[in-house]
Amino acid sequence: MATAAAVVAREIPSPEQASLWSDAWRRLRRNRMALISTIYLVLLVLVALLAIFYTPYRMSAVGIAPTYSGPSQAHLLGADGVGRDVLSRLMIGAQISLIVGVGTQLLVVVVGVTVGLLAGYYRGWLDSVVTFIINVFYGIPDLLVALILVFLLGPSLTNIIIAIVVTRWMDMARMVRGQTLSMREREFIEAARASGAKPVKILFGHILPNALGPIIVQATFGVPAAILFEAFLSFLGVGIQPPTPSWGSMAADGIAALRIAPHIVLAPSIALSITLMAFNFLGDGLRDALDPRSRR
Amino acid sequence: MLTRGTLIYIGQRIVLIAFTVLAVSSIVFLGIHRLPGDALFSEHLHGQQYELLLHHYHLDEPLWIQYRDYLTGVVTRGDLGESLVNKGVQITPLVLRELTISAEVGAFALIFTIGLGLVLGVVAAVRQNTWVDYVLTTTSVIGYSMPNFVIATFLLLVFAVWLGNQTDGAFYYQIGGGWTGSIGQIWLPAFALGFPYASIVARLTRASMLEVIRQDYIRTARAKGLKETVIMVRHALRNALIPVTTILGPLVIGIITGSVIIENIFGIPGLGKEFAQSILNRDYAIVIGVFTMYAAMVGVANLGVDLLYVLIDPRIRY
Amino acid sequence: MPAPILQVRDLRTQFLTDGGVVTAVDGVSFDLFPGESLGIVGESGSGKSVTALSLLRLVPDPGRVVGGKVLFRNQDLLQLSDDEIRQIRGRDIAMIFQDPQSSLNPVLTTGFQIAEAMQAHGKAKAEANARTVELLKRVRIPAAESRVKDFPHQLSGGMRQRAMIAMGLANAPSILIADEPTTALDVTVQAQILELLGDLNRELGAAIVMITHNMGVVAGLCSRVIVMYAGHIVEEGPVEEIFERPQHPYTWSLLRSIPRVDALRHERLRSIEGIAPDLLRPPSGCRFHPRCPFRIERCFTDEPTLEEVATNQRAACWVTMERARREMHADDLLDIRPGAGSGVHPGEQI
Repeated sequence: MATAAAVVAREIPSPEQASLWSDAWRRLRRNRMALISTIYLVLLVLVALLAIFYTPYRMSAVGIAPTYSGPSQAHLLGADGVGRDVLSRLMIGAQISLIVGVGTQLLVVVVGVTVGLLAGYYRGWLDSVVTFIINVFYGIPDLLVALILVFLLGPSLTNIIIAIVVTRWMDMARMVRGQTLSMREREFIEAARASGAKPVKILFGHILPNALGPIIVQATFGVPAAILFEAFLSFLGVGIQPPTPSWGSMAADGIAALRIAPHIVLAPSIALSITLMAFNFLGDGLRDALDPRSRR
Repeated sequence: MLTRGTLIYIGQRIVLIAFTVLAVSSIVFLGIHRLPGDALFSEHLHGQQYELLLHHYHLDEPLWIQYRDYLTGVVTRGDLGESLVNKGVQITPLVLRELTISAEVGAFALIFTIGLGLVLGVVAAVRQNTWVDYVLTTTSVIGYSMPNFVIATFLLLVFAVWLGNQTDGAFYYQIGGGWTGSIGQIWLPAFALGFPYASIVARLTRASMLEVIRQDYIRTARAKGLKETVIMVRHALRNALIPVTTILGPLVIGIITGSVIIENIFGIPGLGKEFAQSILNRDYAIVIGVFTMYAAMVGVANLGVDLLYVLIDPRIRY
Repeated sequence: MPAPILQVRDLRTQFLTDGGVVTAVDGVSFDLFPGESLGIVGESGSGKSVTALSLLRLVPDPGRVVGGKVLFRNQDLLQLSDDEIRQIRGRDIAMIFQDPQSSLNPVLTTGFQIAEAMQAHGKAKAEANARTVELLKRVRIPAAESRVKDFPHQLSGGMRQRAMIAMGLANAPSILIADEPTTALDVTVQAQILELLGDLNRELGAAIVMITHNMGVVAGLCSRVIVMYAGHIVEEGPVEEIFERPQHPYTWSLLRSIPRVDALRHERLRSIEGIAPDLLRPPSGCRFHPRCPFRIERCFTDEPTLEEVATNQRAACWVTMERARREMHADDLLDIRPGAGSGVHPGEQI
């Protein structure tokens, strides 16, 4: 994510923007927690990529170790209730979490930014409708709506992502709408409009680049929220279906054996907590870096 | 405090809540009932037996008749129908009974969340940029990064497994155990429910306090010779609470959502456990009923928050 | 002359900013006598408000009083413990602020905020409440009995400032510091508030320190005036003397920037040329020299100290207006750009 900011910096032409992004990058590097988190997340991505080609054991292979056996040299994180290797399953779980987290946020950015830009720029009835829908969504427990949706659509990775996007696009849309509303009155937008620029050009050429900072921050905070949603659904048994492991379902499986084999529940719980933490620290760091006024 | 205007406002809001609840209930009802494979799903039933059951639940009628009957039942009698899995079990009394259990745990969680969050937030703000502040702001990120089921697991591990023998029965979760209803057992699930949100309240309180501490009226209070604790509590915190109140709505939603998992882990026979169980059992009628109840709870909670604003901020009148 | 009630000696207050250290108050010394009304005048950034806040140790972060003495009843306020200074605040020395809108707590009733000032210094609740009504009457708030229950937002700007003054007077302090109390108010209300302060000063015998940027306010209320520029006192003396014969070019410029209805000549209103100095990098020599019409070469290098220029009147200037009038024809000067009246012109030196 931090490198993404650096890449973006090179694409932005105006010198004022460029210094904004390089300033942000410098501030981000000074934030120790954000830096540690970035390193952890890079490692996590590498582990998830590695898991495509290699896991110590097949994640669904049953009975390769004594059931409930604790960590050993052959099985670093021990085995679960049917004798599967916990480490191998944890690695696949990392894949699932990252796909859900990043995948939903990509879709949320597309949906939220489009809706937000259009509502904020054209205002009128479109804005009223969007605002109404957003307010309705805020009034109901989003996670439970996602739960019902997955339940209706049937549990699969795609459906989980769809359900999370449906319940989580409003934050992004609301933020982008607000940014657009305030920006469309600013001089440089007025100037662009006066010089006959098309709305598409104004929206994507002028407003969007200026709202990019908050969008990145919002999306970064959205990733752990989505991962949490998936874990929640899988924990309840309506998410990722066996034998594919998810950190949520692994924790749920382990809880019954809490007394005899706590490692089964601890491994995914700790992995999940640290991952969510890393994204949140990174989000904090990005926010402080991109919007210095928000500090303190 | 309760002016005529406020009462009219409350009345309007209650009507609005009622309509929202009906709308949510309808959407869920229609969404579920247009599922392929009927709302009633069971592998064990065949032929005539199945037909009889369909008829018992009026599932053989056209959807719009079912919906009309359902709606009439809800509006006129508050009747949410009958469980599809456990024949003969009326949903409304079931859900109401479970609501009292969930509300008890939820209320504890809410009190705990707000109390802890406020104290930590104020301390962090007053000690801004010291190690206390640094530790608190960092741990608050850890706090809201921990899923509630992870916190619940850790609590169970510590209290049930490692200290298990000494505190046997001092927590909800016992293998083969159940609800015993004692207040003494409530704090573990309440902690697990509230902790992530306590971190958020703490962060918000800190930011809000830092904003308020810079205000001119705090300087006035100092110039009067008030004690620092009086300034912080009476003058700063009162004002800092105004933005913090905004989070109470999402907080209630969060606790409701969290209860679906926490009640399962701790074996609390409340609304959340019922909801999760019914989803897994495919007992649609209960799913709709519980969700309707949730919509009503969120509506009432948001109304409560709006009224709280009036209490905290004299500038707000409805 | 009676003994001074407050003696300020070599007060220095600094702000540690990202850009460096700003010395907002730099070696300020003055006396305040019982029952007098002293004006402290200067532009924004001159250090007048920070001086006032420093006296009660109310300087906001990142500001620090770094040196000097504030002697009140033979004790140095800067050396007191936090609890001891708290006892002085509001009881012996009270302070009222510029913007009554933001200076009153929006969620507490006005009456409560006044009563609280008395309860903080040991008065019983009932007694405090009774006196609150009395105080509101004293500052001429109509229907005082019902106004005590009003929240600040229910009062007008003028009433809010009257309530602030009532709060300041609550414990009958011997010193009342008023920091730009009229700036945020309408012109007509300004006059009423000044009149009220004047009356209270005469009736109650509390010494008033009036912080303002407005020479007109000083003329209306004060008997003595201190003029500050860039953290220094540049001139002080009795109001009549200063208005009649200002000796520092800055004071002279300030007085010329007051609109006068009795102006004989059809002259343009003159504002002071140039901008206030950047206190991160204060000018060398006399801090006013970059904007001074009468500067001489010495002003660029040497810092002047306060010297007696007449009875009770002191000024920190190498030239002084007496010489400027005599040698540079100050009174006929229409062009008051920097260096205009002197032989030294911008760009010539340094």
